Amino acid sequence: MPVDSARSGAPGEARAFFSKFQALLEANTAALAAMAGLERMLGGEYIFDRAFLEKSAREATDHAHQAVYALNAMTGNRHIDLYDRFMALAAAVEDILAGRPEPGDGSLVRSLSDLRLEDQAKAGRDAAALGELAGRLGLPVARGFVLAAPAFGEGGDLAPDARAALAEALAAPETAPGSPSLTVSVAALAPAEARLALSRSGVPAEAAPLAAALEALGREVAGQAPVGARLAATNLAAPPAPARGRLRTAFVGQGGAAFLRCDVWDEADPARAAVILFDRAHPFAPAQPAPETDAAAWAGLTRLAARALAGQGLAAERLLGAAVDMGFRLAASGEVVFESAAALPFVPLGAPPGDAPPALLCGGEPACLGAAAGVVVHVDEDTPPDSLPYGAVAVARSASPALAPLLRRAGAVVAEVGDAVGHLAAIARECRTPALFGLAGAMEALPEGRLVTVDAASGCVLAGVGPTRPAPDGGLSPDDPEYLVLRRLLRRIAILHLTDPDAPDFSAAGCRTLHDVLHYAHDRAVAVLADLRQAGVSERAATPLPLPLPLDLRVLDIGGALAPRASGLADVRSRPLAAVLQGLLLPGMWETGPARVGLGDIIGAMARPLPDMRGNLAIAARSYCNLSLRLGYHFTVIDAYVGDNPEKNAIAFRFVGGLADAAGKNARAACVGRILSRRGFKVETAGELATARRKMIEPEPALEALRLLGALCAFARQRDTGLSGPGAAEALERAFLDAWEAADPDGGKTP
Amino acid sequence: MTQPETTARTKRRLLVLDDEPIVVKRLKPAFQKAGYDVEVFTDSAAALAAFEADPADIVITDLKMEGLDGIAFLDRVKAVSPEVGVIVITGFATLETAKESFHKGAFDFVAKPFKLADILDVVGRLESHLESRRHAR
Repeated sequence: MPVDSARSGAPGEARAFFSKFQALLEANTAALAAMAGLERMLGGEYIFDRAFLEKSAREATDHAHQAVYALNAMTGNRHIDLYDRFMALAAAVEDILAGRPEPGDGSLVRSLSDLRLEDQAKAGRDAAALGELAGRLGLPVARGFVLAAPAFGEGGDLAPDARAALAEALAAPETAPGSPSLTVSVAALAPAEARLALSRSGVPAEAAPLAAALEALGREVAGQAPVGARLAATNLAAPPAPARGRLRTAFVGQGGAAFLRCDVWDEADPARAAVILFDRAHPFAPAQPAPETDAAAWAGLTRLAARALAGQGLAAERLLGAAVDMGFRLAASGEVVFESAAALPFVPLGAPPGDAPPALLCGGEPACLGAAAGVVVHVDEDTPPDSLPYGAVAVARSASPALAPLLRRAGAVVAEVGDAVGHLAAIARECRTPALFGLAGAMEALPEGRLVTVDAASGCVLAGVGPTRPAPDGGLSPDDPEYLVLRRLLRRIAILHLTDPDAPDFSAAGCRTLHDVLHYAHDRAVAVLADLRQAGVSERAATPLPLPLPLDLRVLDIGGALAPRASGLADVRSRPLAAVLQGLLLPGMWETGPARVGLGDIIGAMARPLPDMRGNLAIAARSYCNLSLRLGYHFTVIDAYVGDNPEKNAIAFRFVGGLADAAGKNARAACVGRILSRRGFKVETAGELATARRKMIEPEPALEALRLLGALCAFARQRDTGLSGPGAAEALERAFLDAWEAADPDGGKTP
Repeated sequence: MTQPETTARTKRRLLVLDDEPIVVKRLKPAFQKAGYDVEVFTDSAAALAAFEADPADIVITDLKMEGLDGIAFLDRVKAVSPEVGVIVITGFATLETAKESFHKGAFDFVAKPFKLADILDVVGRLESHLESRRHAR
């Protein structure tokens, strides 16, 4: 039944309409569970096969299809464009499963930082590796772009449209190298039998000479490559640098011991060179008999920078699953910029000398397999990412999503609280950072400064330096075709791009993944319900729920949300709604006194229309609620699914508005964001808007998180006025946490 | 994680059969690190020929394969060596296939995807079971 029928229809028709909404919810949660199952395979802990990839990808696709169908059934087919977009994405998923290129893969130019390992078939393995290091780890990589395989014809000639693409790439902001000259290389791609690439430096960053250089190199490579080999070119900015260098992460020295080896030489006088060998464990002590060497000081490579370089090399090794050989430029300022990255053939690495180190602590849940050795640094949500030395072992009380930036630098991460399904676990798998969560007592047993080895596979942290290697035994190698297929699938299925409903690209056409489709369909369906609310339809079907607060809340029960003849909180059967309301009703959260309003607040409020003062509405089922609250001038939406399967559970929170001037509202939104990021939410704030998400949570922590959101909604009401600076916002945060700990029976320790 | 004792006796011999190369590629180093002598196959006829020539102590086999499927393979290896311990792994687990596997003498039935640690534990339990059966004789 479309929305117009629901507007005019009888309660029975309205029920049918809402059953479509419930079908959409069920499709949404089932698709998210399938995506979560796929994502967990990245960590190397599970053995899976291609049949699993096919089954999971098609499940996610089928559920997304059902969600789009339900939305159109609710709206009289007003979202056919979303159906078209879904069909295109479903076709792309099938292309990936069949090993075919996806639509859009024919683009000739790709920004280097956008490339990922799964792009190696069209961009070349080394270019894809550089892109991965820049985009995934944030390493300093030279600006540049790739001319992908379709740009080269038989014999290495440039295809007719490749010249125009080159000219556009040199001018476009996202690909322009920003340097008067380029280093270009043309490589033969798989299935070439041998690695074959030719380079040239000092090519002017202008279309004509660049095209000529590429074509000359292309012909030369094609002449040496097997018949039919495809070619791709990498074009990198080449600003002047007095020194250059090479870092190899697995150099086997005399006696069989393995080191990191860094070679640096003077660009003008290559005979002036230095070699530094480092331990393969943080803090990367120089292994040569030379004193804390300043061997490369003449080149501006300080001791600290050299150790950072070593840590970056090992991070690259973990990400690429193999020992790496990285080329870099060294500016006069000492700044390092990587310009090449190649995986080395397997090198057997001997175990460190001495007995196997004893375990300090065991019992953690591996979120990403691997082993890394380094010095312990205690971290929390306030730790500035730049302060964590590359390669250190980060140890935290909780696996908060706010720690995500640290994972680009950490050799390994350990947390006392957390599990393998949280957001930080997903980031660890993306960066391939060994991660061990739920390791009780870690902060005490692993004091700052202690040298340890995290062996995620065994769930243990060892004392001292244990064996580490580029990829774990039985782990998933980035070279495995199934790994690359998994990554391609996740890129089309699981990444969420559409996070802001107010953004211009929040549309059917803006959906780039199935997750976007689901999110957009859900958002549009909720908007339709809000429209119905405006028309009074949902109110007619909704039940007023008396509460000891002036909320004027009605509940639209779409399946098992309320007991018959509900007359209060005790009759709410919807688990997520009950949790939010419990939080709202906690003692000390709902301020009853008048707000402190300044002149600026009044002037600010005059510019805005009065908010809709009609009552608040919850659309709820046994395991779901969508609660829209208008509390004074601030608007909150809580959308939550909480069932027994943690992989299906998800909470989304949106908080915006206020009465105060911009500074007060922004300070309150930032305060809300900080509180939630410390409680396991992935938070984004922009001005007066704060959005927060948690997903894949066990039921009890999810309900506790919803109680916290309810309490925060009540507490934050009217608190924007009088907020005049960071100090006041911090005081507000402390006041809330004090009130929460005083009121919450669990002492506010969870989630 | 199970770490079998390998110092006082020869290593246990393990045969892994799965027609998906990624599965055997990943299981082989994991079991080698755990102390087993591992042979892997992606073709059931080749696996059967190797087993008939020199039976392994433990077999891990996929169920759904081209040619000789997992249940038939289980039958054949049990006929050659009734003592062999067999673990069935499959991405198409149903109650019926599990029942049939156990009826044919499989020690355990593991649904794909599975954790490396879990399959190592199952093999460890099977090893203990084989040991206790040997002592009982």
